[in-house]
Amino acid sequence: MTASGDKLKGNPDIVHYVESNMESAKRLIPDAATEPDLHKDVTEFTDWLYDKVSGDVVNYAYYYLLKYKRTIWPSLTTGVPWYEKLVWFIAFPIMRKLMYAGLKLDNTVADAALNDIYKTFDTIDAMLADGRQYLSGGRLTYSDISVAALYGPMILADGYQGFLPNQAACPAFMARVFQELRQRPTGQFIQRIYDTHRPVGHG
Amino acid sequence: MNLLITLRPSSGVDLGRWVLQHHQIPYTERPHAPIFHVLALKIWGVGARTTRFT
Repeated sequence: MTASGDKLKGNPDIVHYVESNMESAKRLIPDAATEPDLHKDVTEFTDWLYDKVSGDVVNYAYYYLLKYKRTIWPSLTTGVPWYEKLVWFIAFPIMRKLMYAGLKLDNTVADAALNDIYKTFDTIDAMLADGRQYLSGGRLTYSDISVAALYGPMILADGYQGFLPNQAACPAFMARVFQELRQRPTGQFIQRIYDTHRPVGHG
Repeated sequence: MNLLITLRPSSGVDLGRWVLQHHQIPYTERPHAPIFHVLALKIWGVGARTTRFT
């Protein structure tokens, strides 16, 4: 909800709203009129990424982390209204069952999601193999921060502002996955983008 | 002040925060627990979110 009362429904809406009157060089989504090739590259890449991500990180992380209440508790409840926290505290197994049902989560779905995540890392690793510093063009764009944020939870990225679980509290099999992905070129890219381009939050 | 209704750990939410912070747009975040975040968005009159540019 913007200060002027507009309701924005997602990140593309937010970017359009914020960057609509901005010069192209400052935009995360380059201007279609002045930088058409880069605009196309960024929008097509991020649409592809959303199609690939669409639920993979959610399906893997929620399915397994919801089995470990203490591990996921800060992620679920930090800063939320007290009554929501109370309901989750009292009815955790029921809420977990509702989430599994709502997201259609089971062991097969979660493991397939992890497999998809590895495949997406393969694709981005290949893009990075030419030594590029940024995914689209020679400057930071929405492509870079999309990969970083959307897959940040899978490497437990430092600088992620969504209260990820502490790796030490994660079950060993998940910690191994996070560690393995963090060491991949894509994982290192994600952390570098967080380290060099993530402003300190003021939300 | 801009208001961000969120499910705090969501990766899509961290991307939205990043865009706002990158352009130094002030906002207030109002996080909700899972399931409750869906209700909160409905109360604010925001339905299915957009994720694609094309």
